[in-house]
Amino acid sequence: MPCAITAINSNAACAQDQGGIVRSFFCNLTDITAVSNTAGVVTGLTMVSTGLLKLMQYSKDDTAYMNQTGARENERLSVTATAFFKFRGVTAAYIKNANEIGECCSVVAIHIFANGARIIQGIELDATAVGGFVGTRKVTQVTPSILSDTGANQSRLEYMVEGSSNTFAPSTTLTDAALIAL
Amino acid sequence: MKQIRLKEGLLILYPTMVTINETGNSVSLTGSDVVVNLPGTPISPPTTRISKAATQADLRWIFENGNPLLEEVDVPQPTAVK
Repeated sequence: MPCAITAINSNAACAQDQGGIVRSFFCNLTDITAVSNTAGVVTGLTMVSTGLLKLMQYSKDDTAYMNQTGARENERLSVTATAFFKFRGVTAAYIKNANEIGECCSVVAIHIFANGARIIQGIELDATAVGGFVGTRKVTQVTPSILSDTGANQSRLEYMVEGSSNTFAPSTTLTDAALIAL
Repeated sequence: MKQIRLKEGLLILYPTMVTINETGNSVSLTGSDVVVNLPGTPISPPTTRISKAATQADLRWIFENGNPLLEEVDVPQPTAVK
């Protein structure tokens, strides 16, 4: 991406801009064959088949997040993206889900932010690639944890999703309805 | 006459490829319908999903939306047989 400096003014409106993420769609990186984008915003996904995007509806307790932290390594920008969310309780279905998603080599997650933003973790746009995208430099994977915790707290399943890339995760205009239809 | 089509070689790699059309419906890019039986989960019953083959209008919109797997080609007009 070429160097450019453009003005930003976040004081024009008094929107609350609630933080956090409220739900996410997941698939394997290999489930996506192409990404359409307009000026860096993803406007379409092409999948190897239908029904591969899975909706994760986690606890709405203001603990879910998706953070992207930039760092300089020998003048090169590196971005580490980390998402965290949890599901209350521990069930056989949760254990199966945790074991299966933990086996995935590289995942893609479309996170819906509380303020309405939609960010795709796990890919980078690349116009030179056949499908217009590549996976993140350090693969994006899910690390599950199952916690009983103590009687003062909830037992729960936690997912940590982490990967590193050369650019920040792209946003998308794809709606929930479109993602479910895919 | 200009037509939009899938680039060569991709159909073999991805024989059940789908995407979203202008109206937000899943459409197949393979030239035929894609039918997938999805197994049930603890929160949903088994379902069958059908992605209809994309029409030429669908393909044009998807192409103009920046899909890199499609291309525009010249197709000769059929001539009337005398």
